[in-house]
Amino acid sequence: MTMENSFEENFLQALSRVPEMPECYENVMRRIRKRNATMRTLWAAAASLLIAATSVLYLELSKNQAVPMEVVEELQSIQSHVNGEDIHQELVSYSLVSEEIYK
Amino acid sequence: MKELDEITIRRAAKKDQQAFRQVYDYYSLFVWKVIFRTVNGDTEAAKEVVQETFIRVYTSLGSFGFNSALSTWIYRIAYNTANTYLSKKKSKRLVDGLDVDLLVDGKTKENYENKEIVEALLSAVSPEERFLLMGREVEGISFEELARITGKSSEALRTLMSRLKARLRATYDNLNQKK
Repeated sequence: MTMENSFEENFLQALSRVPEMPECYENVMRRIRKRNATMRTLWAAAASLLIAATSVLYLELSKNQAVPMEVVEELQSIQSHVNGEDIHQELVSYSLVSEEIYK
Repeated sequence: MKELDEITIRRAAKKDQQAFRQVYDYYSLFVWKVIFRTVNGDTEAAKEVVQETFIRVYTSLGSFGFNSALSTWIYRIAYNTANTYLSKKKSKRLVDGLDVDLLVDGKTKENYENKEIVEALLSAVSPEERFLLMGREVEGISFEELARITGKSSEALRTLMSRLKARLRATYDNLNQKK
């Protein structure tokens, strides 16, 4: 649809009449820096919370966890071996003479 | 509209501030003009929308896929930012609530000069219509590009524009007859 010239001219003039653009760049950058800082703080807080929660959970689990019997036995056996407590038993097991001889 | 070179855009996408400054300098004036009209000449509102638009451009430029012109992408952000701003501030409702008939009746119209009538007419259309009028009639953006910016079909925009012009013209004629 074509508008009458006078109207169209006036209308377009009014439409394009805008004040000079104010300086916004510095504000844009300042707000970006502020948002980035806020985001970094939030991420750091979230990471700290996660680490704290994980640590607490790990400690709780460690406290409640029972060592299986096979592992206990194995550890005791290693301990006896290291301390030399099983030497007598070893001698008996692998000797060619009867155990009676030691008595 | 001639676009900024791709190398600068890619640098800006990687948060190169010098390149981003170039993007800002290149596109901000157009955004300012269109947004100033969209928010119905509210300078503070226009400043706020322009700033928020370029903050979003800075943070999201990395996701710009070069599937459209950068100007289209930026105007789409500006359009959405203005809509969000206006709906938050409720000024959209206030502006939409202006009744053109009030300008036609009584003494009010005698106080208006021709150009003031045009400005009064402008204030009586919705922000979206002002955005379209500004983009199409002043900046010469094609209907296809406006469709990409607003998310509406170009046919719908043509119809909307045609009806809008007819409405403005009828009101204008009405005002002139009563003068």
